[in-house]
Amino acid sequence: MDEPTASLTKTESEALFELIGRLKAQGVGIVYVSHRMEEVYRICDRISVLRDGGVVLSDAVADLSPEQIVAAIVGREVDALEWVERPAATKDTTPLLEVRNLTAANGVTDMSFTLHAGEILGLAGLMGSGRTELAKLIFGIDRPTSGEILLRGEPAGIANPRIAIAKGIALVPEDRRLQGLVLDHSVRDNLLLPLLPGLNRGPLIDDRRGDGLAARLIERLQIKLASAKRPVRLLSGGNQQKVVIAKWLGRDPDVLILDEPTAGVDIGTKSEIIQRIRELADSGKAVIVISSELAELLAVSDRVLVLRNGTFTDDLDRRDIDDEESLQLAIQGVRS
Amino acid sequence: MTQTLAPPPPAGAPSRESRLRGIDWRSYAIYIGFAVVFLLFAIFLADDGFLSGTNLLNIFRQTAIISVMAVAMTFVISAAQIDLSIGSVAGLASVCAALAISATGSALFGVLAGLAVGLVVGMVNGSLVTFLGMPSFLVTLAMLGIASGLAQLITKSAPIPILNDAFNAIFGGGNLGPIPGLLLWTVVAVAIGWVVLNKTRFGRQVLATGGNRVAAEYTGVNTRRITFTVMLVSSVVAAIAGMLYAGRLESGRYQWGTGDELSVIAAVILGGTSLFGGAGSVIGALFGSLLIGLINNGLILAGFDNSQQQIIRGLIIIVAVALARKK
Repeated sequence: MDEPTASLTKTESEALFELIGRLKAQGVGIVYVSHRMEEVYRICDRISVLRDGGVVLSDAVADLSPEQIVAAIVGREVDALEWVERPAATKDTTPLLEVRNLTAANGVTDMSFTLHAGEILGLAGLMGSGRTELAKLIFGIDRPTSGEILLRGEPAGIANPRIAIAKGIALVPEDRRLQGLVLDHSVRDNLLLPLLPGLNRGPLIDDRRGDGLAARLIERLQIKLASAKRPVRLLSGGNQQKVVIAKWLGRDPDVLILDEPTAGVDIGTKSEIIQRIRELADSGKAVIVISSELAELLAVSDRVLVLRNGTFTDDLDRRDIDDEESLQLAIQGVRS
Repeated sequence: MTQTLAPPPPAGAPSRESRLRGIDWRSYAIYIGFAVVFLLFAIFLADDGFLSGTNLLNIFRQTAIISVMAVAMTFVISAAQIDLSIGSVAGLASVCAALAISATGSALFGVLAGLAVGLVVGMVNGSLVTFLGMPSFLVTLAMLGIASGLAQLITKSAPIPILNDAFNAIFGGGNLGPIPGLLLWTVVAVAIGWVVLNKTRFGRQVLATGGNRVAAEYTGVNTRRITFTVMLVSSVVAAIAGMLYAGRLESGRYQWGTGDELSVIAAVILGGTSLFGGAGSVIGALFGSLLIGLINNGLILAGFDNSQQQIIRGLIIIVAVALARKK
């Protein structure tokens, strides 16, 4: 089974685990491919970790700690999911992005917030709470019915993604296979698609400069591939996600919105992506991170906005959030 | 982990790969198929005059109009759309050009009338597909009937002779030295099509739109404008093809171009353009068109009657597409 729970709900996964248990009892051998550690501990007897095309660890699950397994997957000790407090962004200047009383048909209701240069803002909430919908409004995919979006204090007038991109906003969308990539096209063509306007020499595209640009982006995000001319669908999920991020970094956006940037991404790549997000903010970009993984959200955010039913219920400074549990309670709307 | 890291390429492969720009073997199927069919005919039909200069030039001349339309259709299909109306738009344009010439005596007004047909039909097709979100298959199927009906209506189904020598010479009838004018039209259309599809921002955006419209839109491509443009260009090129028929046959008639959409689509698909969009080859489409012409020519020379020709042609197309699709 190859990532059988990737698109299953919790209850469906439970049913699957029961089924696996029964098959096991009948003497059926099962190879279970997963990147979820808890599943491995729950149903597996032995584990083999593969990295770069070879087996790097093979042992009984009971004899291994999660840290040992993760270290084998990544090839080094990871502490990316630990929060690194960053110097607070200067708040006395005009905010880079300001959203005022935004309301739209897609469920977003009266949302307001500000985002400063150098700040990483986390959006927490359940699926359908309005996180993705808010991102779509800022990026011009959907239009608000009322309210305002300001960039550097000026009304942004974002009527479509093209205007948003021209104004320095980028969105790494929720579903990279559907919204982020042309899967059958080469890595190079995917990387260059948002950069085409700047690649013209006369009426034609300067392919040599394009190749150089693509190579630099691949290098910068350390995307692992056999050739930039091969289809992006041949890459692993983590490397595909790096391609989506890289194509926007090529445009050097001021506001980068990442919607579930580490979904379906292996642990090693996840920590790399988190590191990149921090570097971007350190270099003065404003970043919005939407994630269902609270550990990740807590690791990377300076501030966390909690959404429920299309509106904000909390605006929390990272320092005031004790642990995942308290954030989870805020998301569920339970007051402690 | 679904870690599908591609295996490292064997030594020496990267340089060859970069030379071939990552094209896989399937995209060469049309050239191989063309060469094989050509060789077979050259061997078995040598005594029937297949290899004579006149015969080969004839194949070019007979396929020229299909080739010109196939260039535009490559863009349409690459953008994941289809245009079934081109054949009857060609007929309507030939009729309107002929009527304008007989009314004014001016070749220029004839050309303008023909182009106007293409522009109007193209804008209607494009608007219905882009702004009303109707499938291009249905829009252009309806337009096929409308254009053909209109052409019959305004001519009472009679041919309109064109007595303007300049028009007839420019559109298909004339030669430039030893080179047939139709061959020049083909070369120009293919050259422009190749450059635009492979070397311009518009071409890349057409391929991205056809490959994944949502992702293209999320990456800043104006996918509506792209779709509208390819539908518009397809109709305008069909109108030019109609005038090529008119010039070659020295008349406008609603039947010129009838059924061409099928040959054109077959040529484009044979040429390696994906029916699902996202990949297209202009040169491939040219060879697809030539292959169809080659087969027609060879079957006639071999003495097959019309019914046998149709069956064999169908079989060859099925085999060719099957080979081109095989991984």
